[in-house]
Amino acid sequence: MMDSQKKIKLKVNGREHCFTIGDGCGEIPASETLVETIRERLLLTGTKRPCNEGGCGGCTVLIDGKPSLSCSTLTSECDGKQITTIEGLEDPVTHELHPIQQAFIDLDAIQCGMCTPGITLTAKALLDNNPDPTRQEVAEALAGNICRCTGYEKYFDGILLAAKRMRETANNGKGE
Amino acid sequence: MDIVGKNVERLDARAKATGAAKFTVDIREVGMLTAKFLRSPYSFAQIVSVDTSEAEKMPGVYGFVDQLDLVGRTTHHDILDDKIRFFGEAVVGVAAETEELALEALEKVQVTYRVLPGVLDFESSAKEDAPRVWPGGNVATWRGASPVSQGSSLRWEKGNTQEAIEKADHKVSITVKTHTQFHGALEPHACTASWDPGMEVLRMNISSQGVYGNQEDIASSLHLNLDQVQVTAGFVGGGFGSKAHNTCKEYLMSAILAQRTLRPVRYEPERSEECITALRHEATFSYELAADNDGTVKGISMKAYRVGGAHTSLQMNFLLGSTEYVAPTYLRSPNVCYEGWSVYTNMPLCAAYRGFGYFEGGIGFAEAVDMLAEEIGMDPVEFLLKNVPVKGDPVSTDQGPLTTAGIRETVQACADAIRWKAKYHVPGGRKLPDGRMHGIGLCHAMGRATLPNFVTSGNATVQVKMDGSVRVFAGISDIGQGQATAIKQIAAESVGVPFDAVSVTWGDTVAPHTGDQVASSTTMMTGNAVKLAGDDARRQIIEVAARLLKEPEENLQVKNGFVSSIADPEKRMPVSAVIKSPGVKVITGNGNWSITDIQASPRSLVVTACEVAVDTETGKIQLLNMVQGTDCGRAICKTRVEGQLDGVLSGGVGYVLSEDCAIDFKDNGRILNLNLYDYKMPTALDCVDILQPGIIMEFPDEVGPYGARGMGEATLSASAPAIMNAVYNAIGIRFEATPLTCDKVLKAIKAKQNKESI
Ligand code: FES
Ligand code: FES
Repeated sequence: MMDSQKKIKLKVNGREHCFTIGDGCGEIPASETLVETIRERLLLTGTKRPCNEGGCGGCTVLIDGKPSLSCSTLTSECDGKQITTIEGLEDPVTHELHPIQQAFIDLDAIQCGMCTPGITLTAKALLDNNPDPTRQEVAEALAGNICRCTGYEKYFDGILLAAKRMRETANNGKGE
Repeated sequence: MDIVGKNVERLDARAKATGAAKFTVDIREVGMLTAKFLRSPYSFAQIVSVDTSEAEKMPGVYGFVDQLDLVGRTTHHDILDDKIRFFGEAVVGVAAETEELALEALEKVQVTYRVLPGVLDFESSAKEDAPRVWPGGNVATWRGASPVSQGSSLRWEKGNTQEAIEKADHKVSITVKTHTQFHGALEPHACTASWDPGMEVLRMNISSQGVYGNQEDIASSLHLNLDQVQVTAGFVGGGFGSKAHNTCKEYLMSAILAQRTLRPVRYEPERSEECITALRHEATFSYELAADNDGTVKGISMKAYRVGGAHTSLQMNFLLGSTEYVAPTYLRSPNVCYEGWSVYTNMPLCAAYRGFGYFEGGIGFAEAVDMLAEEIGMDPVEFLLKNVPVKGDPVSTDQGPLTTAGIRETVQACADAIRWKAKYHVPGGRKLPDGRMHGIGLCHAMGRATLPNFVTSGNATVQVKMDGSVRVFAGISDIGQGQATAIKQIAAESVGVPFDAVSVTWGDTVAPHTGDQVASSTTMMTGNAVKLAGDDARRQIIEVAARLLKEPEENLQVKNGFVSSIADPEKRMPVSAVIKSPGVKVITGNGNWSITDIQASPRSLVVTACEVAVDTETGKIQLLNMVQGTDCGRAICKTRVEGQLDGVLSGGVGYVLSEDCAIDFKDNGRILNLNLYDYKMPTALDCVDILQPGIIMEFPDEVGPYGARGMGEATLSASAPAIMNAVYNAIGIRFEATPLTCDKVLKAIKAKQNKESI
């Protein structure tokens, strides 16, 4: 059982947010999902909610670096967690995009774009752990992210291109 | 050409990559209420009464609307009455401060239904004594609903088909049943509505493929002038046909709720609601095909039986798509006839679905073609090459001259890419080292690329501003294919300014009426209009510049933002200076474009070749290799054409191999798998290392802007029959129904084995 009054802290894209779990005005019901909090309270609508029942991966965010379905996660259980949404990938100062985002743009990978945020974050988690994946490994990582438009082809290409660019940057860094 | 044909960045790429793009489901306004709907538990019922009095007392609940408020209003081409006609149809809508409150309020609403006997499938609807979905009868016709006794929905013939088939050396026949499919767009049919009582304007965002159709339906239903309704569809999360000509009742009801509550209202269907907003319905097709010994087709006879759902919508158009797009078009034949039936049923809306009727119609056709080639003893690709139409051939019902020039070449290129000659074998003729059976298939599919002039025209406006920048008003939606970017390229090219100088207003009724984003028609309809508008603006720029530069008009050109003398490019001035000159300040170019099918018949084209492996122990079909090719006239942007071709792996391959709607015909036609986990759309794991790079042929189309012709709609339509024929090639079983899921394949294999062992 949840305390009727509980304060939680979420760090979303580096910014801290405090909420009170409860049934009062302005409080977050214990049953509220993370996708609701992100979209309706923080107005970060880059996180999509195409099915709201765990079937499409469109609502994927990173919780402490791990890709998670925000429609199937309770906000009340995210106390103290670091959450990254698609809005958190762009460098706020230089406006430089994450290499995955840039590769998707360069290869024209995106069509309607509803699946893109979820796919981007899933891919980021993959590359953070495996900088040189095979095409099969990319597909395995994306297995829970439905895309109806692209046949996934250019997303695979984009993720592999981003991985290559990231490895090159890392190697250049070491060489200096 | 400077810009058309270049791989330019999609204009919305960054917005979509960063999550900044606001789709309809993302739009929030101050004071916005949430609309929710009570849905019918019956497939057919009269609404006797609706009592909202208890729910009205709840704080935070602002307003209601119900079916009885809609009586006399029009949508889906039907005048609504007091009846609901499918399981899950919206009966009562509520607008409340939160979703939870709205749902609670609906629980307190009392509806009295008078349940009526309905019809759920073709057979039960097409009986003389069947209950009628609409008073006129269950058969859709161009004149409206008509009784079964009056016969089919449409028929057409050229030559004497029956006689030709009798006389020919070889003939085959087959009947194929195709199944129901969800579109599966990730953004549902969502809308927002807000009534501005000061300006007397209703503003709506709709996740739509055709804002003008929505505008017309809503304005007429609400008794407003057309331009008192503004519809915007900025970023649209997929559609695949489901959002074309589809003014959902929920949109009307949301608009009424916005007017009643004087608050902005948003509606976002849940996935289970979304799945029944529109369907590709089941259909049955019978073919007879005949040819002579040398492989020349002599006769094609087709019968189509379509389930049309509860509304008139575009039933007749789909029937045309299933019949005239296929039988008199896919192959040359002096004798062709088709007869089509589309019947009303108490099932959800029958919506367009990528491959507007020809997707499903083409499956049985291609199987019949394969059978005929086998019967004659001809290689199926040779047979196609001999019989596909060439430029100038009469096609379709109007028998207008075909402008698509590269059908043979595209078939040949795909055959070469998959190494057809080396790999084709007799049915059941090749076992793979792992014991599975290998099969190969190749098919083509053709759709429209324009809309007839009685349906719509293409219109656009181009404004050249004082700084030399350009705004294009072209109201087509962009559901993901990149039309808005293509429009930008065409405008930049035709006016003569850099790509980045152009901004596009798309998906918005503030732009002049133009064709919906359907039928691969945007490139030609709106693309041509934009080119004409750009040409018009350029002509006016030159007219002014001629005075300023003291040079005859015919000596001037506009390129890259400068007007210059053709002979002496040093003699030039920027476009901005022309616009800033006294008495100008803005130049507006207009474009209007339309065509009849008799004048010219441009047809989109996609060819699919594929290889499969069939496991005869489990019935599992694995797609090993696939090639997609198109002749698109000219690729405005190649990477975007490739993207369209790639899309086959989801909606096309999924249709045959994994997607199946579980419909309970004993319980009101209720669909049991209304979600994205029981309904199996292909995942990334199903799509690795299958597709070869797309083949893009460019035989310029005389009708298209810069020779371009749309192709996106056809991309799925050759894949399903290619897989069906490849499976036949693998195991010698001709399937007469889709999908080819493991259970069905295994059953057929067992049946064949039993027969052979007797
Ligand atoms: S919205 Fe969370 S998985 Fe679909
Ligand atoms: S791009 Fe449309 S769903 Fe993936």
